[in-house]
Amino acid sequence: MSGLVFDGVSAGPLLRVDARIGPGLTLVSGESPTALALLIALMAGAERPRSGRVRLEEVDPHQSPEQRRRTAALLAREPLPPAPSVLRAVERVLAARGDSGSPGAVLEASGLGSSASRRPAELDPSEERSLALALALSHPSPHLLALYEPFHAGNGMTPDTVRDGIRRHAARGAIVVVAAVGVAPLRALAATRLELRGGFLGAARSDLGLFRGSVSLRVRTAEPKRLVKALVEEASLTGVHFDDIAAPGSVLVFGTDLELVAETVTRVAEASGVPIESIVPTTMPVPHGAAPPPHGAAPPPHGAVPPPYGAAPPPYGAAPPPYGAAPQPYVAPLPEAPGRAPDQSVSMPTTFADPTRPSGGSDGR
Amino acid sequence: MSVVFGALHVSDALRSRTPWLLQVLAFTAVAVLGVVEQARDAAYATERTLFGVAFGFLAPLLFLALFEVVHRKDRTTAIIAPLARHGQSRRALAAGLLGSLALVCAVSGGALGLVAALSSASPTAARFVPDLVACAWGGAAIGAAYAGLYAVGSLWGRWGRVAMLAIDWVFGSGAGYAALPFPRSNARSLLGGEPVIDSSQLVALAILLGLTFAGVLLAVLRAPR
Repeated sequence: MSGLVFDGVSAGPLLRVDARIGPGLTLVSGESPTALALLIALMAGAERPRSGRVRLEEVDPHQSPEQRRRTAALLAREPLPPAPSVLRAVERVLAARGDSGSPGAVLEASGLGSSASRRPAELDPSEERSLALALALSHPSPHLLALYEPFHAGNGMTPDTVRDGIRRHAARGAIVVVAAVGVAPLRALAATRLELRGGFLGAARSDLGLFRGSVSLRVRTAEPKRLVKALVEEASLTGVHFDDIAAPGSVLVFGTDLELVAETVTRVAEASGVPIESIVPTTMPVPHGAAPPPHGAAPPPHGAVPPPYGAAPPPYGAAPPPYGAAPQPYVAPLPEAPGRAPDQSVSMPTTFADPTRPSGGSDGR
Repeated sequence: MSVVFGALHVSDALRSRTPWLLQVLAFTAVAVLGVVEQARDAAYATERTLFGVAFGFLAPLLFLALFEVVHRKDRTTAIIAPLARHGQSRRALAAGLLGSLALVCAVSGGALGLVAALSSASPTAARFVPDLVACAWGGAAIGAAYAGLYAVGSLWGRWGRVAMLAIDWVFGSGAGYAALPFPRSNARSLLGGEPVIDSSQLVALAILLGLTFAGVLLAVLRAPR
């Protein structure tokens, strides 16, 4: 089994993707929802690259119905096949992939149990994606589970259910790829992290995406939201991160000087009356352009030579870290992609209509 | 299995009221004009009905409408995508879908020919029954040929189909070499009108059947696996 291989793939906003993705969970984050959605569509064989090759176990999924049958995916848009009712459409999808599962159970899992008799055309895009997510997660044994924004697929499935489904398939040894603008709900899971930026796919620079800074502190408090509100005005900080789902009692605070950050947090907490339980440094200062360390490994030594952006992800075949292990916090300044000409930005739309995003229309950038 | 899914797609799409309403409207128009032609001048009333309103004007539009009901402005590969991505062969799905559509168009064309003959011919005429039969199978062959033409047009979506209709209208109206590969000219020839490059009705029938198979086959082979 050779995993999922992207060999010089370009398509739409994807300028060049070279990657080998093995079994286990891989998170792909990025700024462009269009590019992320296209990446998943290429993996699922729903789209074909303009140039380059996509191979799942040495076979092009776009050209192989058998390979597509073994792939469970959630795309940006998920129209159902035409059928007299939603239930019949789901029945047809299950039959198409040779699945003897119950269509009723899939509908219940997606929160659309009461919509069985509706016509497929009556479902809105959010309901369609909710159903597609339930279909993908209910696949009995996919070789590849590729999901685009699974936490923004309607209200039918709770984040815990989605996370459990992802974890279950990854633990089975399937290749599981989740592509999303923000992968925060999955941060607690051990995963290979990739980042899609400027049309290139490379090792993720930071679990925290856009938050920059050479140092960070994890502040545990019972009132994280009040603390965040108080901290955001502080000029001495470069960023504040709070994730209500992944780490409800923690606030990550970023800056350039550890002592100054600690002093600021203490002062602001005291002034605003927010009780602090603990303050722990989470990173060592890393040089500009340093590569992200492998998850579970110690932070890189000072002055480590970074691999080029767009380099292959961690070697395929390496044992993945245990599930549930906290990923090594890592923060690094943003390196520039080599060879990234300024005019390439024109192929990366800054806004686009995406009904699956919570905002309902724009990626907000 | 994929072929069956393609056929089911057509059957589901044609279950709506629109295609039936269109058929009824087309048949009614042909029947009324057939009766008018018969009343005006009984000689060659059937030919005028067939060449004029039935297969000269309404049939190509009716078959286009049937394709639109199933395709909804999309390409064939786009409408089979929801099942193809779950593991069905695109080519087999397209074969099932376009084959079924060709069958539907053939039945519809046959019925249209029958209605035209019934409404415009006198039941007391010597060749009434043979004419009915000829109009029915001739109409079926014409319907299938248009399905082949629109199957090729469906490689580009709605505009492809409309372009095929326009090209057929422009080039198929003649009787020279340029008219040879079009259903319109061969339909006229098959139904006893002006032949294309002086060829026989048998040749016209062969071309119509060839257009059906070639069109569907080309559309199927152009689809990825």
